[in-house]
Amino acid sequence: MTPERYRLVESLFDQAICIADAESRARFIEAATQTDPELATELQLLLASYETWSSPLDLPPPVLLRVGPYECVEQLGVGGMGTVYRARRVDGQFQQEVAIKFLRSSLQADSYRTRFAAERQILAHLNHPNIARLLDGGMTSEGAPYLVMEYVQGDSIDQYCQRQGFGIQERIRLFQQVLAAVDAAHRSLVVHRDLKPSNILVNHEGSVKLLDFGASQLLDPDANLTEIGALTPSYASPELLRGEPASTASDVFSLGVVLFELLTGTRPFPGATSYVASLERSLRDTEPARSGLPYDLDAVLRKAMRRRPDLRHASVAALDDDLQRYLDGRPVSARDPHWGYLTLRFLRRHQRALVAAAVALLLLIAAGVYAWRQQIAAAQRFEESRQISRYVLFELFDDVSQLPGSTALRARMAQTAQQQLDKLAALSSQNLDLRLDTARGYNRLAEVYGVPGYANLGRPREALDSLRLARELLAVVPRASLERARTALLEARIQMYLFGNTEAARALVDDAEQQIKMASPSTVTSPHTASEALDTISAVADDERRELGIHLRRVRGDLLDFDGLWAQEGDNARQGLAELDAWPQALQARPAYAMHRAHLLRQSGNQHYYEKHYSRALADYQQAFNLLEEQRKRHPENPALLGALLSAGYDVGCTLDMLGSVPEAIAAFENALRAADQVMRNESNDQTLIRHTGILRQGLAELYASQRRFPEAVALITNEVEFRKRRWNQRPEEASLERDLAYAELALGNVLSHVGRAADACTVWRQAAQRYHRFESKGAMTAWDQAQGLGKLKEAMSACSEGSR
Amino acid sequence: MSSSGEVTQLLRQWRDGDVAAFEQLTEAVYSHLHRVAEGYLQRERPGHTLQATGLVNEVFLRLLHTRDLSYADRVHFFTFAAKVMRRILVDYSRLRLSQKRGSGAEALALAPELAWVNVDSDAFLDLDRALEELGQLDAVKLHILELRYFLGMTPEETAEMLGLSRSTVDRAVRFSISWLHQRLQTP
Repeated sequence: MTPERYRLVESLFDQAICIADAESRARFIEAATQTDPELATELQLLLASYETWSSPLDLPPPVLLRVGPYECVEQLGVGGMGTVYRARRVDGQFQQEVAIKFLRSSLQADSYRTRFAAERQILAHLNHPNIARLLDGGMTSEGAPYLVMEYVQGDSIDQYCQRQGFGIQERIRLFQQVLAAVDAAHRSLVVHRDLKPSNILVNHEGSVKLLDFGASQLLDPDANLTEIGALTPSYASPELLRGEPASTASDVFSLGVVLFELLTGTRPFPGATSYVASLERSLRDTEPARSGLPYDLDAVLRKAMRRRPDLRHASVAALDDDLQRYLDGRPVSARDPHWGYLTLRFLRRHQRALVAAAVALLLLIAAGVYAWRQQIAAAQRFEESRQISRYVLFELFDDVSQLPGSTALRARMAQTAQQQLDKLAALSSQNLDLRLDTARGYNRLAEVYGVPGYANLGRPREALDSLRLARELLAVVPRASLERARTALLEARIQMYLFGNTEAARALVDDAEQQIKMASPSTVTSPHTASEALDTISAVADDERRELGIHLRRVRGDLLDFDGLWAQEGDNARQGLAELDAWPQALQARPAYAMHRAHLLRQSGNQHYYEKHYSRALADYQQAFNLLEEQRKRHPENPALLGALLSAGYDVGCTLDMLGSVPEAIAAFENALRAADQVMRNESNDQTLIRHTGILRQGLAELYASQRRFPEAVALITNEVEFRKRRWNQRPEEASLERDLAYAELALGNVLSHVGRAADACTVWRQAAQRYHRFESKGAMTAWDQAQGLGKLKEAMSACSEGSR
Repeated sequence: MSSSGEVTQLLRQWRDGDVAAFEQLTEAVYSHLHRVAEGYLQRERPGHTLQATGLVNEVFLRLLHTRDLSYADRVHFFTFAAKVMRRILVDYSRLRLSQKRGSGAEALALAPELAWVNVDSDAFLDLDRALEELGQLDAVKLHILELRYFLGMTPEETAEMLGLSRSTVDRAVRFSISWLHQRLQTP
């Protein structure tokens, strides 16, 4: 465009624009541009542009909205429930950005105002870090209700996940924050009713903030939500679409839809974006689309989105639990939680190895049911049933225990077989072999319930009950001293490791020793008049006696360790090692052999360690570790082996630390922790493992602290204290859990005092000291507690101020 | 930071047609003006005219440490500041584009009259080019738009600073925005 033409256009534009009347303006343009149609087009376009940009529709409201002490700064959005503005306080009290939502309400009556005020009160108490807080609310002078809420900056959860490039697991973990928030609200009796991705924001720190919680409740509570547009059909549950009242179950449904979309990028009910299509879905029994996700995860989502509210997860917490189970690789509740499913899932993990177990169990159950119904002891069926029980309990049980994640299955096996034996024993109370079998069954059951050192369910009280039954049964069985010794040793473990009752443990170990002596080879081979079945036992009795002998040494050694008698512990271990050397070849080939050997080596190492001969200790510990590492190649997932490995790794790490090789010590700890994590994934209820893992974490935290890696140290030990506190709170009667907590608190105090938080350190120490004094008054204080617990604590607390005690 | 004397000197050189002085001057005050621009970009949102005048005034006084400056110096400083602000916004726009901001971002406009240009988009870069074109045809109009929209001066202030009548400024704004809109928005 030439400057001349530009001037001409400008001049004509200025003139034309002053002509308000459209017809006159058109005539003016026509006259002015007669010879130049291009000029006419140019002018018309310019005038049209002017109309567009100057149109008042495009302009924001000239007057700022003011509500109470807030001034609206900008409109954030218009939704079904009303319009939201970003606003700030203008009364100069304090700087605060808020979001103000003006609710569209169909009712302006007084009853509504009362209700609004009441609901607002409830919401104001909804205080959760993941829920945008309701700060204020009221009515404008025109009577429009409004809510003042925390202003959240962030992305909606789906955008956030996409931007972060999150995978399935990370998405689920993030979503768990949402679940925690919704669960907290439900506990305060507030439902959301309109959960959808755009109501779930994630801020810069990666924490979730839920918007609009309960806001829909402040609308006319009687109106159909869809009618007033306060509901997003794609995410709404069928019952909400039908106009039924909202419930926690409808939130569970919406959460299912949101998670489905978050994990798959698609909606579970395609084409359900419109209200009509959604309503159709609510009336027909439409199944959600296949997610293509792993089967268990798919099942969890399906359960959350069941059409019938009562078939969904009973609560948001239950949904959360299922997702956690999925993450942990444990069975999810959304699948049938019955025995068949557990077996199936287990079989999937260990395909062929367990087909035999499943078949045998089915046979066992069938035989049991049959025998029970018949109420007869037809000799053959009786014997068949008994054989299967024995097979399950004494052969399959050992095979299965080599597999990871088998604790629950073993408990089930032991229980089923046990019930079977009980019934058989009841049918034939004079049958002594059967009595012995039944007692052995109870010993097995005890192991899996809660004997430390075995992969167990962490239920020591039930374990003790089982042992008591075993003892009662054995009392009248002649020549059952080996089994009696086993019962005594199992109980000794519980008394010592879990209850800190070394007195009782010592008596039990002495008793076991007596029993084993009574079953010496000479008496076993002597002629006897008992039933035939006892002959079979005597055939294996030698092996069993050897095994129990080592078992006894191990427990004895641990007891000496508890009492701080290191020299005796070392002697005992070396005698045990010599006994092991004398084992027949066939027996040495068993995996248990390596485990026994490693345990005794560790006890021998303990003596050197406590006598401060660290190089010698390291040699023993390292040997134990290598032995187990060797076994691990053959049984990579055996939980008991991994448990032993992590203890040996712990010993190696501690000794390296003492030798001044701290980086190597840290590596050993981290390595052991990895083994712990591997086995914990499958055995998440195994109390022994949990304890040992905790000890590892505590040790590692102390090592980090010694290397001035304080943030890692504080994080690790703080977590551990919290974890142990939760465990203890779950079972406050369990002294061992409080003892674990006291040790962690001692360590936390140490780390805190290192980073200069002396006051915090003293608080934690004082708490720990109180626990030790409680042990003392209960007589549950061991020599170790005295020296390593309370002793260390008193030393540390001398630095605390005078008023501390 | 250059001394106030230096800034004044550069300002005069630039007024006298020394193009290189503009670059030197920019270097001297860019960081100050950048802070002004940042404040605008962070705090202000659509529907709010850029209120940078007061802040630029402050920068001006701080930089030159004196109120004893000729009226011409002031005009030149503000003219200059408006140009720098425009450059900052262009830089900002390019940066945002290279960051590939996700969808759903709020539109950031300079003023209600320019609400159809999102500072956050390449439309803004087009606007910058169209402004350049307008400047070739009509330097005064560009001057008016820069003061008005890149420094956020009111029509009165703009008129006063340029020694024009208020109605001339209004007319100029009316025409030049229509002109820009037609060039950028008409398919």
